[in-house]
Amino acid sequence: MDRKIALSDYIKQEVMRNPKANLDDAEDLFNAGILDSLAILQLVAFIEENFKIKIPDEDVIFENFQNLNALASYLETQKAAE
Amino acid sequence: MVKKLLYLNGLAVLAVVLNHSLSWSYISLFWWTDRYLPVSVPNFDQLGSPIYYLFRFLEQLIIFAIPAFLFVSGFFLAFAAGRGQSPLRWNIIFVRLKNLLIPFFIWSVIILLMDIALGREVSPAEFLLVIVTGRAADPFYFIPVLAQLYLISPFIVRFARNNWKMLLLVTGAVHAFFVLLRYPPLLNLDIPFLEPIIANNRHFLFPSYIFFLTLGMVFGFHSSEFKEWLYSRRWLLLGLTGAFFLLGVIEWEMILKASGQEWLGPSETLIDQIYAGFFLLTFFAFERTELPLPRTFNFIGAKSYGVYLTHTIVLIITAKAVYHLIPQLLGLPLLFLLMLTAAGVALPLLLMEIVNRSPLRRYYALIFG
Repeated sequence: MDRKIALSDYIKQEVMRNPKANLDDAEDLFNAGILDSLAILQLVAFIEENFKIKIPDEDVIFENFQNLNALASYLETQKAAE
Repeated sequence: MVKKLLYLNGLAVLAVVLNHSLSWSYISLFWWTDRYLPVSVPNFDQLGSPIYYLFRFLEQLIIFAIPAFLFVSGFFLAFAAGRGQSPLRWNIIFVRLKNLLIPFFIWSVIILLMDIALGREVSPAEFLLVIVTGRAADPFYFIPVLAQLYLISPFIVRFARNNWKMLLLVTGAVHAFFVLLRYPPLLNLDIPFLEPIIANNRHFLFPSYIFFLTLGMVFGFHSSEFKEWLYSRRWLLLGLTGAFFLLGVIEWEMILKASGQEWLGPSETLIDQIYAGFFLLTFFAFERTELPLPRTFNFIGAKSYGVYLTHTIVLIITAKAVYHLIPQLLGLPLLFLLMLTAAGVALPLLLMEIVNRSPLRRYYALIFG
């Protein structure tokens, strides 16, 4: 499955707890109050476990997690680097 | 390090539940003694017994809990500010406050309504004051503290980024000063010129907690710089953690003796704060060490706010049920403690799971954060 869709599904299901929620790929996940400190940590764990992509500490930054587009793009780069 | 934060959060919320279970266990030792022994209460015969010291050691061990929550919050604030020089956006702060305060208000009202149903008289003004100052339940003071710290955090961020040593020095000094103000009342000391500050040094105000939030922020911005430094000093840090743990136990016994009281309610001292600081540094210094039960702690860590808000009600009901229905259990303090702690963690998790699987799921975040 496309990573962006999988991430969107995860966030809707586990973070927003509403699978039918509207989540735009460019929506700011922090401004919208979707991600908080614990949700980011859970999301990192979800990505590492499901996509088998290691996220170094220094990459857990706002700019990589701000929205689905940024996150998917970061994961593409990271996967290619691995 | 980032991935250990969820584990730390899980560990911290378990520590909070254990801490409040210990409070009930002290009640069973000293104020409910007549339910299992032919004595009048309060009865302090068990003060100084092996079980008392076991409880004191446990109580001392888990003092890192609130500092750990503050550290994780500080780390998030650094994350939310981003890597450039951009300021922390107020919108993020307000959204975070909304997610923090709505569940807090809901559970504060529920607990106060329970109190009123049990006969407590509360005027509307007092009702509001109790909620705003986080006094609906013992652990709730932390939420107003965290809200205040969130509100001042945009002013701190740039120092955490660019001038972190000075920031830690200043916030450490402020923190230590306000913690030191707790000593005179404990020791019955009269210091007239400090009296106005001491009288207003309430536990729901942020100054005596600020250091751990700024420490989390500084780690958030500079963690890669600290990793090797911490790793190379991990055994020294572990030793210092152990030393301050023991000093904290001894200090409290000395304070209790010097106060001339038979019993003092818990109050965290400067030694406790230093212990908590070394505990956090040690936790990250051993980052490369595999910790036990990572899935369990991460799971609990992810649900920590819901457990934090609801465990008090569970503990009250469980402790009072034991008092009335099986008072013999109060005479087995370790078993009573284990039972309370297990109930204080398991029942909130069960309640959260029930809500998660019910039509109330869409309101989950409002109820449990």
